[in-house]
Amino acid sequence: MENPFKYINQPLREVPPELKAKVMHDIAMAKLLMDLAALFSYNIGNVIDSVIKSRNK
Amino acid sequence: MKTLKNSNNQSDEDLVKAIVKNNDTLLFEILYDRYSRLVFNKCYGFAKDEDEAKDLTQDVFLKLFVKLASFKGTSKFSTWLYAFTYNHCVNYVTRNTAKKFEKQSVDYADLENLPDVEDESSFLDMKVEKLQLALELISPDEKMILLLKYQDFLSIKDIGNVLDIGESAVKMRVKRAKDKLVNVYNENFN
Repeated sequence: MENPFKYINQPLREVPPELKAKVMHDIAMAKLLMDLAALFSYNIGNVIDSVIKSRNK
Repeated sequence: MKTLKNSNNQSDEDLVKAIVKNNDTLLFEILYDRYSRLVFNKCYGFAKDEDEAKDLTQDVFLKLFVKLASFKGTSKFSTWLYAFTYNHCVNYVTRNTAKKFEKQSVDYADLENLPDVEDESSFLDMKVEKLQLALELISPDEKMILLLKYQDFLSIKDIGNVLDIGESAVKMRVKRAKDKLVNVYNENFN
């Protein structure tokens, strides 16, 4: 006897092709927002890094 | 183009690192192509119909892009993605139920004799269609852990890693879910 879990939800369904465009659109929007957020905020890690580096010189 | 071709052959883990570095959407597309079928089918297992599965898949990939940096590489990417997808689906399915706050702690009395969860014999004679129906009758959390263990073949250690719980807790949860499934199956279909 084989493990019946292997056959649950088989055969695998194909992903609807239009979904990719939707997902990539979402991702583009998310990237825009993340980049904007990075632009308008300090990256504290980078600030500390660069301060320490310039002190050493 | 050459770089994209190279990326196509990259391991998942390297690809993820490259995506996280610059929030690269082009590389994320490769990741989508590799895993969309898997994620869509996992979501379908928790959704009522194809539209709901599509919405869930879309949400999972958006959330994945935003949270990709939290993948630390302690387990295989596919393993992490299984848990990530299941977690999202379970949260979606249980969003309106008070059960969310049900106590999930492990009873210490049970820890004395941890069960042998590798034993699959209890459901070997179950019929696939009935098993699928029975899985709908147990809680989504229980369904998730059983699928992780017996369909995706994650080790106890991996499940503990990706769900962020101890190995003994995983064993207890698998055992309880398994007992419940066998009970539900026997009550309804035997």
